[in-house]
Amino acid sequence: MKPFPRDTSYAHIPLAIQQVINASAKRLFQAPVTEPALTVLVTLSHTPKGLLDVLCDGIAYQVKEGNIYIWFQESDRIDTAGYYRLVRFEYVGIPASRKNLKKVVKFTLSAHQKL
Amino acid sequence: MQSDLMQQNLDFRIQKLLQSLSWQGPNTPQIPGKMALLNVLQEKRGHLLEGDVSPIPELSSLTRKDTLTPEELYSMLGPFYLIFGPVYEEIVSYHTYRIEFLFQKTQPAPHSMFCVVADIFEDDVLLLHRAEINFWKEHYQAPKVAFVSTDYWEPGPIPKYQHIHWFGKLAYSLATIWNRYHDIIPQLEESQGGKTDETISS
Repeated sequence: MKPFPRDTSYAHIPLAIQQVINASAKRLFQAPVTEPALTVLVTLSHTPKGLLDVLCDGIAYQVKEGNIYIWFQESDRIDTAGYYRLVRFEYVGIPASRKNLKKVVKFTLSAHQKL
Repeated sequence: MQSDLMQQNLDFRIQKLLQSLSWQGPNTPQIPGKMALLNVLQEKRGHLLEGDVSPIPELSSLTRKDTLTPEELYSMLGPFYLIFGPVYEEIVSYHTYRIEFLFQKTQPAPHSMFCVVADIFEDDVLLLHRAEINFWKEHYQAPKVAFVSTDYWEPGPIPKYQHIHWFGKLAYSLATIWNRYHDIIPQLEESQGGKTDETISS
């Protein structure tokens, strides 16, 4: 079995959706959080170039009415699972391994805004 | 053509459900769930006859890479096949994910309700070969599923993603469909079943 090719184009995403994501990226990067929040940490398979690149690395998300919603589920239950509104994202990593700094992304989601 | 295949698939599953219902006694706890599934499949069959080929979760697709017949799949998957059919397909993050169910493992992991081995495709490209999909119980006697997980043991190249975040949505859908037909099984109060008042009070 050949290695799976990584997405290098975003052709599968409608252009209007790409525009919303790119427009939101600067606003959401390390944005202050002022409401009850949920956190999702994901280890990426490559160093991303930006939010659109992050989302293309296997993140379950939806874009609706200009907002981005990320899939959240507690580890052993499904009753609270759903798409929650993204309010902040940042790159986190182990300080001893700075080259991996951008390979772990932390999404902060609004606990009250669920699709 | 697609409509004919869908109808054949529905006919097979309806027939097996009816057979299964005819073998069970009137007070069997699984009957309400099977009746609910039968109603959904029969309703879809009615819509097909009217020309509506839009998918439903219980019949999301029939596309498979292999050529296994419904009889072969049913013999390998059992009642699981009657609920999910041969394939589960869903669009997540603008990718089309397709889970082709292969067989049910006879010895699932401890505390797993059951385990199904499946090939998972992303946009028609094989993403995970022979992934094990485990359905975990809510508690040890529950008919409902609390969550669904996947394990990937196939040796070979590194998978495309280093995580299964994308699988979370698919897992949720699978668990929701399963629970739809197992939510209505009456729960026995097993802690007191078969005991006399004396043994309970002591």
